Amino acid sequence: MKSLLITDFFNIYRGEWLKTRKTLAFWMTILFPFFCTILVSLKFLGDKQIPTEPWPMFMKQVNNVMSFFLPFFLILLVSFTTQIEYKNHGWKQLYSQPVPRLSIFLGKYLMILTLLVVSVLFALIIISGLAPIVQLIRPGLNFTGTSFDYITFVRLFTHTILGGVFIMTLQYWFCIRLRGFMAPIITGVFFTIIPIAYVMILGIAGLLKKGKEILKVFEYDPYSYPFSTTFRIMPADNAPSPIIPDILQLHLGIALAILILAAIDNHFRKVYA
Amino acid sequence: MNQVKNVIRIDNLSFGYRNKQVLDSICLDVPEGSIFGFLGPNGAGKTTTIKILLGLLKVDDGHVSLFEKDINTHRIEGLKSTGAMVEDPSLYEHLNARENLKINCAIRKISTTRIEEVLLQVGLTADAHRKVRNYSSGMKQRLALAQALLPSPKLLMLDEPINGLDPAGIIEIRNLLLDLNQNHGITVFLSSHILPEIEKLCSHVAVINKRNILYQGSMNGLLNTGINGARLIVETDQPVKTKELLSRLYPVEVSGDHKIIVILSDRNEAKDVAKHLVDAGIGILLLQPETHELEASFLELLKDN
Repeated sequence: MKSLLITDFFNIYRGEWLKTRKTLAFWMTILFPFFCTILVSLKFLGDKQIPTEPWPMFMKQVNNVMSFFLPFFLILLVSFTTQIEYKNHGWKQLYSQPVPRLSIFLGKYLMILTLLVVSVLFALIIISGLAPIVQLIRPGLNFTGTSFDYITFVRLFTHTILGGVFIMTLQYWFCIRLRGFMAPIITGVFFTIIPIAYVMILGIAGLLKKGKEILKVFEYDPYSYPFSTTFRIMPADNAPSPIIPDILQLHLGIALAILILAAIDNHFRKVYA
Repeated sequence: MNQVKNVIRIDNLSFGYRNKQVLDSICLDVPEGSIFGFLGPNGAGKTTTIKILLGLLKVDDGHVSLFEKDINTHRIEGLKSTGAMVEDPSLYEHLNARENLKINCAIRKISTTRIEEVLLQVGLTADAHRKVRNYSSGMKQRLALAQALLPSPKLLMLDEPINGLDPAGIIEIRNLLLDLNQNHGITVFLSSHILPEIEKLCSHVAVINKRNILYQGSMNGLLNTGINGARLIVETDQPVKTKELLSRLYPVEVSGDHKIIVILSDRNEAKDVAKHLVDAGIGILLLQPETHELEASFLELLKDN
């Protein structure tokens, strides 16, 4: 039974790969890091100061921009991936196959996680390709004279991927439960915008400098965790932070619990399609 | 003595969505090797029944088995030998036909060599490279049928399989289903609104209405139940004498085009009608059962219910 579940799980995953190609979700996976890297490239071209170590700075800034937009990216990515089934009446085809329902549930989840990882891998390719072009336009930037800092890349982007798992898991459950396209997006965007709006209000009221402890609360909110780390990851003293800080461990633990709950919920559904 | 095995067995099945009861203690047996037509008006519970058989809906009350395996406890074993098509075709429109079938091959561990075989069977080989979004509804229907055939099933469950097909397409699919049934031993369970097609295709039939099964059994059984009698069209070289003779023996109607319709209580009486005419020296030009007999029987069943 266990081996059947695993075999079927990989077969479902293969099927997910085949159907995800040429979809909006797949193109978004490429366009998201491209868009973020272009933004940072434009900033580098406009900056007066020229960093002596351009690679880590470039990577950090791409990572910051990606982290900031990550909740929106994930909300759309999960919705587009599940929408493939809703739009094409695919759920009834999937759930009438002789495979365990858990394999179907986890196969699609793993596909979305894979797309998140693919997005980061594309970021690596795009950063490596765009940075020398930026140097061509602004010769003072010494990208080609210094080595690519892989360790910094892995540290930063592993944190970004893991920071997105909680949002991804919640959105996945929403998409399966709410069954539509707009409802999970609206729910996700609402949860993302609320903390941003709160920070803006604090800023306008002049409470932001005094409110570091208030801001820390956002680290517990999955939707604002990537956003909050955007500020934390760029500290003035440039102090390195651990790849998986305690708070992220907590997020991952809760994400796993939500995934298990969602799988149980899926198992006990009365109507699959 | 060989006992006919039932590939589908439904026993006292009840199902409802929240406040709406859809099926009420229905029982159904689909014999192996049959082409079984499942008839009923819209909302009668046909699609719900098919969805339950495929494990898409969980049973409230009763027992459902496929190949003698309970669908609740042995869903995977039951579905292994089943190919299905439910309601609108489940196709990924951004992909072409081959890519769609490849997904099913991946999920069900089927050799990709089957893809060309099923495309040929449903007549889609020439269009297999085109994206499904550019297909007509009939072509989508064929591709959905190809999906159902992919695992070389022993049981085909088809919900409205000829919807959207043109007359030539209907004939092709009818011939394909007959071939699969007669030459490959595949049991076909299908629902349809197109009664003349059901009549041409099916060996067995069940009629469902308002949550209950009104009839199940052989097609001939339904046609011979004498619900409304069989209607026989008679055309002779002496219409006046024919009418006089037959009206003394049977209830008789005259159709708009002056054909005599004899209403029989049993289809077997047709041979007696012929004998009476021959004995009276009347030349028979036409003697045939009125078409759409199933339609008449079906409507009569619904009316009684």
